[in-house]
Amino acid sequence: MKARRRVVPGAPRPQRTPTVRRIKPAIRPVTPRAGVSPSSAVPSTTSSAASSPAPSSVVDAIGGRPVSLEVDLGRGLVLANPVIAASGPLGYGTEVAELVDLARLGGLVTRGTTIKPRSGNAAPRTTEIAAGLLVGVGLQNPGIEAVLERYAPAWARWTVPVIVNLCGESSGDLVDMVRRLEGVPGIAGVELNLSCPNARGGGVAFGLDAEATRSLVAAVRRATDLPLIAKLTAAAADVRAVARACEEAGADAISAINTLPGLAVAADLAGPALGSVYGGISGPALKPVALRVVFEVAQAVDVPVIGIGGVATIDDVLDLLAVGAAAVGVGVAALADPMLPVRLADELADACRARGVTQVADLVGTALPRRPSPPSTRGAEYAR
Amino acid sequence: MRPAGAELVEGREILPGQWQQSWHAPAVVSGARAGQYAHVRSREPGGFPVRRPYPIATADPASGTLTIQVESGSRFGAWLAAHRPGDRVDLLGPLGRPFEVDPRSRHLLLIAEGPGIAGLRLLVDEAIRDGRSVVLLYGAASSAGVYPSSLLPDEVEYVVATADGSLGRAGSVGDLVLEYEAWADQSFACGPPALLARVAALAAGRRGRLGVATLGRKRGGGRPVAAGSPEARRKAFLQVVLGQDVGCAAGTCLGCVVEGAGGPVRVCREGPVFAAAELDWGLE
Repeated sequence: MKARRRVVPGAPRPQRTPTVRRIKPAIRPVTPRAGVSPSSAVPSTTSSAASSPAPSSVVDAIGGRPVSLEVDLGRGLVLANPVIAASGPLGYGTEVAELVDLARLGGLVTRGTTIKPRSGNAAPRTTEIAAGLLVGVGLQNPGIEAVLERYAPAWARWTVPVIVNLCGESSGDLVDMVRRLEGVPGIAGVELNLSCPNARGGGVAFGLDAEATRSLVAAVRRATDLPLIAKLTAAAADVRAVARACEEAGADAISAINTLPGLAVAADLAGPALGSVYGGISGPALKPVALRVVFEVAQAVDVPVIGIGGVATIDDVLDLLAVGAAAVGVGVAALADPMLPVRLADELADACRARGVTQVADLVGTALPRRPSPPSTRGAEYAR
Repeated sequence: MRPAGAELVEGREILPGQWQQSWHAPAVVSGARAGQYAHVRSREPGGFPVRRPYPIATADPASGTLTIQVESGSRFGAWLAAHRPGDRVDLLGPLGRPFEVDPRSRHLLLIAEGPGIAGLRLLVDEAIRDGRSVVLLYGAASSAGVYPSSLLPDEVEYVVATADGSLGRAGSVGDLVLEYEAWADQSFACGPPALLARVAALAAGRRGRLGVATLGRKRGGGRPVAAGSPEARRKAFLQVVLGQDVGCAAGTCLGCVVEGAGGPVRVCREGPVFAAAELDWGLE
């Protein structure tokens, strides 16, 4: 039996110092908690997209065993299933509400939102690369104030938990933003984009440095009681150190990973292909990096990890779960097929049945080693 | 907008590297208007992460078929052009906002270059059906790239310019515009950005030629209309179709955004048709 790890909410989370390696807690499978489900937490009115309540357990038509897909991300944020729409592809949700049955998503992460409106980068903003897409939108968004005004009323009607993705160049900006989210109905949590330039740190992204991350997450933690998710970048030298800093500073969950900075050359070879010069690599090209980071982070922290990067099929979902992701985010693949996250959730229930497990938690962490694996900071060739 | 399976009825190479494909997709064809596009998805393993937009070149509600024009030079185009009758693809549509033709317009000037003809082709059919007279100005590099007149209705006056002078007028299609613009009530363009910028510069500040119809009205009269609304576009002298790639077509990814006169606009939702005055052409 391979090591499996689940975090039980409510259990005291032991504090730890980065230098002392603690033995992993025993395997604690999560049982579906009665009375706590997103559909009962948020009052629901019938709308075209959110008409059917999100099923937390799915019973096979031919009398198969029910499968529990519920995932607890801590601080009361319980997802009906582990497949969420990652930040970006579904915008603020309202744009695709008539096309996608949002109520059947595990969660919806909004597009990156900043304190002031941003008009984004010059065109072209996307270009296709081998097995992926290079994206340089430049955080075009109407600003937190307008976002809450335009979209939050719809979020409050939906049953799907909406997690607001926030970007800012200082902890002051981010603290200001989370304070505005406090008490707004329809907001289930906050995701902090750590790939933002730190104005005080010479413009180096927070997520590249464990200490900058620690002070940022701690400041935001003090300002809000909402579930707080920190989104790591794989560009950090040691993602484990950054992940531990997030956990120690009070993040309830960690999502990994954001896009990786990349470059494409224009067809006429006269310069970069994108108006923004650099773009974020997303799509299947990102999957091995995401697997590596989730694998490392899941061994380093006890908070749940949301695996994001290159998910396009059920096999990608199962791979990320196996390396320790408690939930999985679908990114650029949802552009071509907005219904994909919902379909993956259905396929995940089938995959559980096919493997004879009754809860999706049993698929989590099956590929993690019993003893901590050496860090990738040693370089791939020297890892053993 | 709804996802629909589409089945290839016929594909033929109408020009070197240009395929005209006829797809059976009744759900997309019904209600399709000129200027709108269909979004095609590839299911190639390890293939293309996003869909590609193709203007609906013709639509026949009776048979439920639409045609698109595919360039086989690109990787995606080669994949799509290789389909055989009976093959199916995932096709989303009709998407985007259509052309808005002023009901009083009698003379329509259509300006296309190269594959841009596909963006205007359905407008030709609609205008002829509505009894308007149409002049189609078409530009290509040489006679080998000239859109076959046999694929156009007989009622269209088809004027060709080629860069090497091998067919029609020698020069660019932009030169022809100067001769015809005084005749036109409204004009519509689709082609490379350089052509669109040139015709937009010609049309800048120009109002419709509908002098007779506006006689007796107070100057500046009528309700003010919001820029970008169908009413405002109906009054615009020049409308253009932008042919750039569109990521999600739902307005969420913001990958297709271009600079508008009043801030960024999404080609997939506010477009692909724009009144020329809505876009920032960098003229000043």
